[in-house]
Amino acid sequence: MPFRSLVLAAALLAALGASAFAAPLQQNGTFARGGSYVLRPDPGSSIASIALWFRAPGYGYGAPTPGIGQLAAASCAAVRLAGGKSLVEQIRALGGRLAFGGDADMITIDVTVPAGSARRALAALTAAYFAPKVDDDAYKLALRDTAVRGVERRYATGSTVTDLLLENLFASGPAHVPALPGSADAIASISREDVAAFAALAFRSNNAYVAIAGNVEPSIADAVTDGDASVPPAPFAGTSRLAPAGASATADGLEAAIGMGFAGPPITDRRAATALDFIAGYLFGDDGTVAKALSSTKARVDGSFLTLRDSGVTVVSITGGDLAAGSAAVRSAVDAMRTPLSADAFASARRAFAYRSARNWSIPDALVDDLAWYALQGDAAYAPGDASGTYARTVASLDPAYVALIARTYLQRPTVLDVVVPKGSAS
Amino acid sequence: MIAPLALVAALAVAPPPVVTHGAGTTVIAQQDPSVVLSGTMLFVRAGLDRQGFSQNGLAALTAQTILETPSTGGLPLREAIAAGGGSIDRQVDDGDVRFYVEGLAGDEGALVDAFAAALRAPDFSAATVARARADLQADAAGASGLSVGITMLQGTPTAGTAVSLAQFVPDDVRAFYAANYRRGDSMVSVVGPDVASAGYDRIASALAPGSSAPAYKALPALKGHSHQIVAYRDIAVPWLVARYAAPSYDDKDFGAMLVLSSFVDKTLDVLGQVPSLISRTSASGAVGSIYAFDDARPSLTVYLYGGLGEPTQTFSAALAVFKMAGGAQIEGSLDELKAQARGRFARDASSLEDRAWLAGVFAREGSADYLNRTFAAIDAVKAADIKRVAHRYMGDPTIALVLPRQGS
Repeated sequence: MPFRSLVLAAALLAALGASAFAAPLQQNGTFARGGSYVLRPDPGSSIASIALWFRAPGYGYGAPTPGIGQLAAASCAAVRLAGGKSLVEQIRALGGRLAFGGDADMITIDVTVPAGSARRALAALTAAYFAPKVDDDAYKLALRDTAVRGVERRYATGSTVTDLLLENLFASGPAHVPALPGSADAIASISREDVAAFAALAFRSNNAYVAIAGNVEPSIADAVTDGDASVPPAPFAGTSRLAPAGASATADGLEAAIGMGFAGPPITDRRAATALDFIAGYLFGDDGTVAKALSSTKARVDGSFLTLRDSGVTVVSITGGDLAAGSAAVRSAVDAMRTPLSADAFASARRAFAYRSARNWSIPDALVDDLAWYALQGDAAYAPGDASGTYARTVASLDPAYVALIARTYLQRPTVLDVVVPKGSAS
Repeated sequence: MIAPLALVAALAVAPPPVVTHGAGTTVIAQQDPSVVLSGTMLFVRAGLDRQGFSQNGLAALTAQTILETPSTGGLPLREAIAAGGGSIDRQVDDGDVRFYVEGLAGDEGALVDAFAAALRAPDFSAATVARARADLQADAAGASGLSVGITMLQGTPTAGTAVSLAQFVPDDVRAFYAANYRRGDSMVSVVGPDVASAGYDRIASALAPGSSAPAYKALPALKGHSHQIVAYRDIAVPWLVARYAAPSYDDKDFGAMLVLSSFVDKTLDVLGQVPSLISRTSASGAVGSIYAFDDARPSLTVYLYGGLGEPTQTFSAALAVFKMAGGAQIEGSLDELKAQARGRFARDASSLEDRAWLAGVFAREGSADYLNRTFAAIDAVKAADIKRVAHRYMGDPTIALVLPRQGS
């Protein structure tokens, strides 16, 4: 029998400052056939979402091969399962959507289906991945899918900036290696045999974390009938080492942009990580101080703190319009954070942040990603959406002086990236 | 702590929206103990059809003036609500203005009170109206090519133009408010873990009793192959938009149109990208359709974004396929198209705001149980229905081309 624990999460709302009432239920456990899960039923929702995420090196277990993880994920989804249909076909027949993604230290498979279909979706998902197979037809289809996504990523300037910043912020380890190569040729050079070998290691049930939310029945964990709990997780240290701060780099891109990156604390320092989340929201949110300082025509600035197992990072991308004005606005706003906000301003900003944080995971497909991300970074209970309310309590513990201290500690010397459009290339 | 099994089992049953009438308004409540936010949507019959032809933008300007009305701490309402841990936005459509207030459950009382105060006594001073006008102009300047294209095909811009907005003085806004912000035709739709404390009675009582002013006669939607509108904007790549008339959500053809729109999406996917891809990619967002089943003039809008290649060939091929759909059996499995229609509707109903909106829309005509009502409509669709509905609606669309301005 799977182990289960149920948490009543009145603490979450109390920590957010809201009054107490019947709170959401959360069930944490392990499948009988291996793998951990978290379940958040919401019978009022029109959808059910499942995040099946594996902690595994997306670039391979041997020499770095960017893209092999997502190629393997796509291959397993295209293989015909018992019953004759592939996972892709089954999810499509349920009216659902399937998406792959991930970073170099994880491979993510997300499914969203309409209410009433979650059990079949979970059974199909785990059949495809907890007993992975890669045949030639599936491999060929997956090559095309992965190549398209690799090429598309080049067109997304924000993703390009983040990838390049991480490459420069970290000297080695998963965070240093991009999840996908930028060329279809690099994908095509990965052999089917290598993909199959990778899948056998990476897609073990004991490497998996499954987050399920929305309109699902509480007994859904019983739908998992594949996997082998006796096979241990594949070894993966996954430690990333920081590069010296303050470096600068130039890279080619399809659109001119500026990136700034600041190394931050690991996930184990919850309070500091939360303070950097707060700062990113305060500065770079839709109504943040940087957006207010820039008219819509000057430049677009996006920024966030990525909570990571080792060192988290604040990444900022400046695109479109007047990049110099955007860069100046970012530097000025970051400087201002080193001085404590007034008590009133801080109280308002913290309240607004608590709401925006909760809003970010208020839909099932966002909630499962939130829960799975923090679990794979090593601290599931700290996920903002976790019903324990740990994150909300940490938000409540912040004060102006501490936030200013964290800004002075971690937002000092950015690594700066200039993305330039090579002469002669079309924009 | 271990929850009693009975409690766990009870979670599997979703209570349908509950509709009540009181305090001069209609209240639709969706109690959901699983969510941590609470959302409240007010529908007021103060939309575009209450504007005269010379009042282009007045409905939006009035709604925006309410959001700009000074509130707690002297801040404009929308900033005061943000500082209080929530958000407020507004949508203006053919018939209604919809305000949506959201916050952490437990906080919604204060947020709703702030909204009710501004709703009861908007500030029609010249400074506040000027701020509202500037907001609308900033929104228009930042509009995407797709929203420009959709607006072009609506006939009347939802937020007016710089010229039309400039003509309005505070007394115009005050008069529009007085004539149309009435309790009689309003609805309040609430979603959250504790709907009883959501304060809908305070919102409703902030409106004057009685009904909104009569609607002006609506312009018929443009229809036919001779209509093609071109606009130039400071955008990098073109958007191609086509609009077909479509049935309303309370029409017998609603389910068939939802299934047909799945066929439209599938066709666009196949023609616009590499076919047989395993998963949705970013390119998937570059093509698609929007079925506006709740508009006074319901429509199916098809769009293509030119950012990932040459879009015109795909566009013309897709329109040809749609035109033929009424004359032949459509390709693909009907069961799969129905499943896709269910999935799409369910995804579009997943946020609290969508849930509040859909319950309100469906409560206007029949049951507010939008999900089961729609799923039943889709399940009842037969192949002959698709053919009939395609023949009736998918003829010659009106087309909008939003093109980059020279030098952009």
